[in-house]
Order: sequence, then structure tokens, then C-alpha cells
Amino acid sequence: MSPARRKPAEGDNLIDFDPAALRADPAVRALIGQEERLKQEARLSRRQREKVIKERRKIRERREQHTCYDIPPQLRQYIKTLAEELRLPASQIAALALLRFARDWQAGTIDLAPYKRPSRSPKYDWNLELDPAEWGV
Amino acid sequence: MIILAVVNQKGGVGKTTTAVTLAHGLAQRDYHTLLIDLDAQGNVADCLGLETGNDLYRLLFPGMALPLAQGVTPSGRPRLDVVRSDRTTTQLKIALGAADMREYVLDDLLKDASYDVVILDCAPSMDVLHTAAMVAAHYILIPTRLDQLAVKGVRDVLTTLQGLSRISTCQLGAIIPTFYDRQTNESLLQLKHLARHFKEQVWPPIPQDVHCRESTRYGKTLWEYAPQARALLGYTHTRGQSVGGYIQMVDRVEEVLLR
Ligand SMILES: Nc1ncnc2c1ncn2[C@@H]1O[C@H](COP(=O)(O)OP(=O)(O)OP(=O)(O)O)[C@@H](O)[C@H]1O
Ligand SMILES: [Mg+2]
Repeated sequence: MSPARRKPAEGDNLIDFDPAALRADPAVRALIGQEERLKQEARLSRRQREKVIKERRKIRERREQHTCYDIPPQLRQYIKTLAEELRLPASQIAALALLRFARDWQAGTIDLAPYKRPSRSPKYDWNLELDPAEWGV
Repeated sequence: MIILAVVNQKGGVGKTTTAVTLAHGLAQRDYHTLLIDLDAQGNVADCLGLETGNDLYRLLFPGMALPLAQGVTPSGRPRLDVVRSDRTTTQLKIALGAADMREYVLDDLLKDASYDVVILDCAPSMDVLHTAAMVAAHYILIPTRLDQLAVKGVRDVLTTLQGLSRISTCQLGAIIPTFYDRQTNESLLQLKHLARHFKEQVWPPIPQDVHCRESTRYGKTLWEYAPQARALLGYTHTRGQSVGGYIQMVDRVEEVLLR
């Protein structure tokens, strides 16, 4: 906001230190930040630059693979412990588990009926109710 | 009604391009807008594809001035009128030089105007109309290129403004970096320097873009000639947000100056 726009403080003797007045326009800040990063990269040696670019690409690619599901905490803990035991990334165990599920589902060897309960949510027709006794596996 | 003067005593910094793009941009956003050309070069008419004319002379010539409504020219765009200028403006300035209260000619002209916004496109010189614009305006917008000499022009404008403080309540609205070139270090350096001093009064820069010159050649505004032009859209930042460009400038004018 331009200082010209700010109404003078009225009725009290306190000076108005608007913190916004101390900062640049957000878009200007964004542009300067971005350009400085690019300039910094340009200053790196070719090998360093390649590394930075590769890392950035890796992060970007990983973003595609990133997802978020709600999982009962005991089950989550179990996968985590298993991953540690097997010295494997937990994500890959989860991916394998989902893959196995998808195969079984396609083969028709999985029956959801015992778990299905009608949902009251407008978004879903059903919920799957897992037996808490099974969470810890 | 808000009056904005686009000023920089330095030539070729994008004053007219900024004034025309802003005026048409605001008209498109439903503001009833008047654009006044104060420069004998008559560039505003060129930019809008109009014949040049002596509207300004007829509106301001001492002793025989017309009322505003009889002197404006429709731009052919909804809600946008213009006061054109041509070489007669030179004679006008000489005549005004001898007139009483000459600093107030624009203030008087616009006293009863019924526009939402009036934009004054100033000439790159320090003359009587320049002073009159700074007296009439609520805010000045200073386009500047991002090189050392041009930035000196910003300082000159602010000094002039200070010198007028006894007769003018005009304030700095914003500094608008123009001809922004991402390739050069100088652009970035000057932008940082300006932002450090003037903080949020430095608005996002307008990219250098050949569409600016081309659109003038065809007598069209950027909105008409090249709606996808970089000078309008700015640069794409992360997550599809854009920074800079005239669209963002019109946003800022609306948010900051026209509340
Ligand atoms: N962002 C830009 N990128 C490239 N060219 C531009 C840009 N802005 C303006 N121009 C071109 O630069 C030239 C000068 O711009 P403009 O006439 O707007 O400046 P000015 O400050 O009004 O000049 P003067 O001081 O002579 O009145 C014009 O040909 C215009 O089309
Ligand atoms: Mg001009």
C-alpha cells in the first residue's frame, strides 16, 4: 500500500509504524529473489550447476509421486518398523502393497463386502471399516 | 475523481506507453477515463490511431478557452476520452508563460470534470504544463528505465515535486520500472537500489517488449494489438503467478490509488 494511501493516524499521539512500509512490493521481492537465484547459479562451475539443476529436477519429479492418505496410526507404525527392519524406504513398501492390492483386485480375489458400510458423506457412498484389532497386523 | 500525472523529465522512458496503456486498461475496467496529452509531439493520438489535433490548445489558450466537455475527443473506445495535442501546444506554452495563475490551468480545467480518472501524459521537459500537471494531480507516476541516467531522472522529478510543495499537494504514487531486461545485471541492480529506497512505491517492472513499438505503429493499444504481450502479462513466476507487466500495474493503481 502506498504511504499516500494510508490514512494519517487520528485521535492519538502515537506514530504509526506500518510494517508494510518497510518492505518492498511483494511482486518486486519475488522477482528480485528469483533473479538472484538464477544469477547465483550462473556463477557456479559447470559441474556444480549441473548438480543444482539435477537436484531441482529430482525434487520436481518427486512432487509427482508425492501423495497423502490417511492411514490408521498403528498400521503406519507397522509399515515404518517393517521398513526399518528390512532397511527399505517405507514408500516403496507402501507402493508394493498397493500394487499387490491392485493386482488382486483386478483378479477378483479381494472381497470388500465384509468391510463396506454406507457413508453419510455427500462425497462417498461407502466407507471401509477396518477392524481395529487388525491395525497392528 | 483521481488525477494521475505520468512524468519524467527524461525522454523515451515509456511515459506515453504507460499513460495510454493505463488509460485504456482502466476504461476496460469500467472507469470513465480521460487521457490528456501535454506534449507537443502528439504521441497519444498516434498510440490510439487518432488524427492529431489541437484539443489542448483550444481548451487552455488564455482568454478563449473552451469548457472541457466541448474540447475532448472520443477515443473510439468505450469510456475513454482524450485531449489531443499537436504542435500548437508550443504556442500555447508561450502564451501561458505570460498568463497569471498559469500553474493552475489544468486544475481549473478539471475542477468540474465528471470522470473517474484523469491521466496526464507529460512531455520530457520542465515547462509550464509540466508544473500545471503536478499542481492538478493527486499522484505522480514515474516511469523509468533501469539505468543510472534514467534513475537520475527520478530524483529530478522528486526534486521538482518538492519545489512545488507550496502550491501542490501532489504526492509520489509510484515508480514504474520500464524496459526491464532480465538479461542485464544493470536492470536488476537498479531495481534493487530503487526498491531499497522507495520500498513498496516501486512497482513491478514492465518487461522490454517489441509489441510496444509495434502497437503504436498500428495505432492500437497493447490490449488491442497484443493481449498476450509480455509487456502486459509480465513474467511467469512460480506456480503460474506472474510478476510485472501492465496488467499488474493497473491492479496496483486500482488497489493503491483509486480506492
Ligand atoms: N516496455 C517497452 N519495451 C519496448 N519498447 C517500449 C516499451 N515501452 C515503450 N517502448 C517504446 O519506446 C519508445 C518510447 O516510449 P514512449 O513514447 O512511451 O516514451 P516517452 O517517455 O513517452 O517518450 P517522450 O519522452 O519522448 O515523450 C516508443 O517507441 C515505445 O513504443
Ligand atoms: Mg511521450
